[in-house]
Amino acid sequence: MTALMQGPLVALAPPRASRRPLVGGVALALLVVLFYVLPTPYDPNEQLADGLSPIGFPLAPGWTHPFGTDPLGRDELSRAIVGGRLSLLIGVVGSLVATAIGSLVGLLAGSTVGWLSNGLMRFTDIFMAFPYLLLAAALQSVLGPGIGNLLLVVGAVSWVNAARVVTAQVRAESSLDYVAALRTLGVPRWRVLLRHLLPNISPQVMVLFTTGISYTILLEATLSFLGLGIQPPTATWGNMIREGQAYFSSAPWLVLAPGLLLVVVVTAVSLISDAVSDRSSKGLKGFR
Amino acid sequence: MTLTRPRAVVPASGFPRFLAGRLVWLLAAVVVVVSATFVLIYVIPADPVSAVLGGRIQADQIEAIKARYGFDLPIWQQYLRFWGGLFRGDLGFSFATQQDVGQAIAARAGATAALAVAGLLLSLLIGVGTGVFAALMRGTWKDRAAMGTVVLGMGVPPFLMGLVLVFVFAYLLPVFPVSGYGSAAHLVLPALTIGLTGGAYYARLLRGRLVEVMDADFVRASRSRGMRESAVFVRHTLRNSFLPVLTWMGMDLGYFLSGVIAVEAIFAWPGIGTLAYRAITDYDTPMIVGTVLVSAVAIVTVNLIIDLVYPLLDPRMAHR
Amino acid sequence: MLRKTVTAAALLLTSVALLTGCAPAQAPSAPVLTGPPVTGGTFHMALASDLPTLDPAQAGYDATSWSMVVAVFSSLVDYDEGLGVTGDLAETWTVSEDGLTYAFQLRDGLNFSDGSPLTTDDILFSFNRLLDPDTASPGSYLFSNIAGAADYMDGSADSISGITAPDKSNVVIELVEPQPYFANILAMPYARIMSEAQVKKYPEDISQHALGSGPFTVESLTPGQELVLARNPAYFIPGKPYLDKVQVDLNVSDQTRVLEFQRGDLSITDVPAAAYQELVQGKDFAPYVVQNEDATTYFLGMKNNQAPFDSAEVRQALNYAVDKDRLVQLLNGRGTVASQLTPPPLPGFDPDAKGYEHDVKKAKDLLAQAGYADGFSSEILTVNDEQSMRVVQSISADLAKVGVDVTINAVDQSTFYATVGAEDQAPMFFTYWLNYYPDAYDFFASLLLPENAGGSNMFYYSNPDVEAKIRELSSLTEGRAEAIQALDAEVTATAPFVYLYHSITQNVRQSDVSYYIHPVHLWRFADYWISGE
Repeated sequence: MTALMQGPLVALAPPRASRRPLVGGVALALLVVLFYVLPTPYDPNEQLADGLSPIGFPLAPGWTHPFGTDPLGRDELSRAIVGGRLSLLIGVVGSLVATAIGSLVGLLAGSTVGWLSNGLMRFTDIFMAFPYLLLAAALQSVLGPGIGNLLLVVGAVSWVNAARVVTAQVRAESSLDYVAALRTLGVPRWRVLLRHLLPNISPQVMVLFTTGISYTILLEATLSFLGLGIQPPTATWGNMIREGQAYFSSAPWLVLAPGLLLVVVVTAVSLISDAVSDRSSKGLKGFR
Repeated sequence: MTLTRPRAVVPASGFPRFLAGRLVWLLAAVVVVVSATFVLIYVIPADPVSAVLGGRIQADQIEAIKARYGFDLPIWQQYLRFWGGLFRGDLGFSFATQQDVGQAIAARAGATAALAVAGLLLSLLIGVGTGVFAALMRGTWKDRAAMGTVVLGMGVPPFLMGLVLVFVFAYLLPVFPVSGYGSAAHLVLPALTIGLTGGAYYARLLRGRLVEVMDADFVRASRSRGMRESAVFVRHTLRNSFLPVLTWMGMDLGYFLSGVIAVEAIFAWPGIGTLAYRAITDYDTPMIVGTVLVSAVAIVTVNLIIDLVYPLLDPRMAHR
Repeated sequence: MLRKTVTAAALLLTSVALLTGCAPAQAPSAPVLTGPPVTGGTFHMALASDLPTLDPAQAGYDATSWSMVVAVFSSLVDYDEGLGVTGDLAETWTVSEDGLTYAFQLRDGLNFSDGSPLTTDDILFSFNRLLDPDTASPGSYLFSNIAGAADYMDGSADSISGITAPDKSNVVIELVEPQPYFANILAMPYARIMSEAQVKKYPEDISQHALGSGPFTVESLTPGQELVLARNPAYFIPGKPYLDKVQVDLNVSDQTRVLEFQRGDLSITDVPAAAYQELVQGKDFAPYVVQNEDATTYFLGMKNNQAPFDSAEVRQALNYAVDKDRLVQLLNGRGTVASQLTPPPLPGFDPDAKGYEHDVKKAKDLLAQAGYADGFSSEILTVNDEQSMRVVQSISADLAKVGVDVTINAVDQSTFYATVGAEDQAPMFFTYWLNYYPDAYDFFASLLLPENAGGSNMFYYSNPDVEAKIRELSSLTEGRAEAIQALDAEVTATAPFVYLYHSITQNVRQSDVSYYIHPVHLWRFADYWISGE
């Protein structure tokens, strides 16, 4: 709930490093193989002639259809696979967009003083007062459905957290001795910023980016579940769950298959971002 | 990496000035949010009258009705009319639902507030319980099991949790109503959905902080002064770990008060979230602006309250 | 005239019985009203959607409003439990020899549910309000045959000259030309009688303050949440209604409706596809399935005046391309393939009509003839409910097989109606027509006449020959069924849209609920009762 409403508030201090990142990495690698390397058993949009029972009911999981078929007689596994591709793609690209916008705003706000910095900070602050999902839903309905528009929506609503974190990081970093030393040596401000500050805060940006992936996947799933995201017949986990929800008691695989995949992928991604976050905070401590 | 939203530091000039400053910020935020929404939704191709009546009546009839409700005016005039109405306490009229926007929101505010508070309390109960448990058991398999569940829980979107709860409580354990509004029992499942998905975040946040604080010097010092372990935990560790939780609570409450769209939709909960969702799909522009306005006010107000409560808990920040 | 209506009704009931005989699921289709009526109790049901309005003049395309309006308001005449029209506010009525003058004798002592008297002024007011351009009723065109209606609607007259009240208990309506089904039009929700005083008191939000003289009164209406109706103690038909209360929950999801019904909380439920096995085939509820063959035709519309759909070959090709049997299978067999516009329950339906079979090769050939050998791309607009989404996805897969590549634009109901009629939008769309009144003329006139283009003629269909025959049908009394069949065959050949199916509605009732689905008004709460075991 919280993440969906508020965006990737990173910096939840992760528990001590363990084998969990490894688990996450392995899980994700397996899923990437499943999604991208293995072929789908059927055409995900093909309504199979024998894909429905005689009274028009979806088929239960079995040897020919491991995840069963959906209410249109399409192979649920094939749809889950292409849905996963799309979810991961949207997660990565969406988070990239949001992190890039946020970092840019953060760099500007953190490295400048006066009206520009103040203005940007205020603007980010005010953006926090937007009802989050409401904004995303309204924006999506204005722009219309489609993958490009969805990425735009994600970027528009998710940049705030990155902007805040990067601003704070740049500020903190700027106050360190080495920055003052470089400035005294006559190194131009932009050069300090790009050559020294940016590399030093890049671990935090990486954390923002990886956390943003799971967050974006969840946002896309929620929008599609509400019927505002990617439109059928294109399969995404969100609209597969939407289509399957009425069948929860009679054909539970229609919700459980995409639902469990969604949980596994999001969890795997967050384990990996934990690992990134662990490493980066260790690095920071070492530096200080 | 900041753990919390940067808190406003009370300036030397004192509390009244601080409060005034925060109130100005609050107003500015609301004005900007509403203005942005206004511009945004007036880009929508369909106007509310055509959305409801289009295709059923003649074009000139549509124009007549648009004129009656002022939808034919240029956007800046509609914008000024909106603020003018707001000062008279009038949020406008929703053509799609044939309702006064203010009344419609007021009628649903109770349901949303009930769900927000109950959801938050359950999140806290589950989150704090798990977080404290894991911190006390830190390093053991119990800690790992608890935190593993928490990580998994964070990957479950609320709408999926809601569907699963409906299924469980409809077929396996039919004790609570799975839809609707009216009694405390109706509140259980939607609140539990929020509690279970939201609680994971509190658990993680709190455990991380607790472990950090437990190792901090002043806690060790208290312990070495011979304070009982439980007293140390409650008086120092917990108190010092609770600030980020409080911040997050404030943000959660603010957002819950703006309506939890997916959860409300699944449980047919008649709150502001479903009202806004319907308004969005109906292109009901006055209702969208109204719900966004009320939501933004809720969010900034709760944040203001948290700003004011914060110093009471944090000895380092005081209002003098 | 009166006698004729009765004959027509009898005919219709026969055809319903005949057709449900071959319907895939066996279930009673006649009213399930068993045993002596019992007074008292609450009838509880849930709707997937909201209730758009309780203003009779606005109760338009959305059939869910109809039943509620009918429960709260009375009209001059109304349906009985089938398709027969009987007196309502009117005790009796007569029709002149030439079929142009309808004279209604009102009952004595009519009151609105708040106790205020219902007078002929209210009746005249209601009709004038309905046709007032400011009211913008989607149904005003249905009443344009009333003398003076056209002048009133274009603003050249202050009132409708054809509706008068010679004295306090008589109302006379004059028509321009005979209309064999005019009594059916008067039984529509549009023509319900409102209180003039109440409308003047609440000009903006009369829907929130509905006041009528029907069997029920509005106890409370919480938009988006619930409607509660209570017995109208002053109802003019003694002994009715049987129920004390009707509670209608709004915006309830498919699975929740089914679940609440299974728990016994709801008196009836519809049967979403997901629950078909459980409710219709399972033994718990199978005996209590109530079925109605709807007077509906579902179609895939096309903008006939725009390329590539301005080519008859293209429209015919798409008719061949769609696998209608698959669609009926997706409906769990609750429908019949449409081979004509007239739905099975209406007179003039031709059980032997050919229509378009599923033939991919023929479709490809026709597309090639029209110059679209490589197909084309387009967009289908649809309402985003579960069933429509399934049907449209199936259609889009069929079209892809003949090279027609469509994207699906799924929108909310209100958005759908906002865009479907626009000439430059929604090149293709999935929707249906449900009879306003049980006569095939409604289908032809509403959907195909040029004056309704952009409104109910969403196709911008224009064919002078067909148009002339539709106008002829309007007042035709002799050989009507044959004329309908001939017209239907001619229209089918021009393929204004892709013919899909006629639906069959199934509901399930609790064993103690006496219930049926009315063929026009769907729910007629005044006729239901609960035996309360």
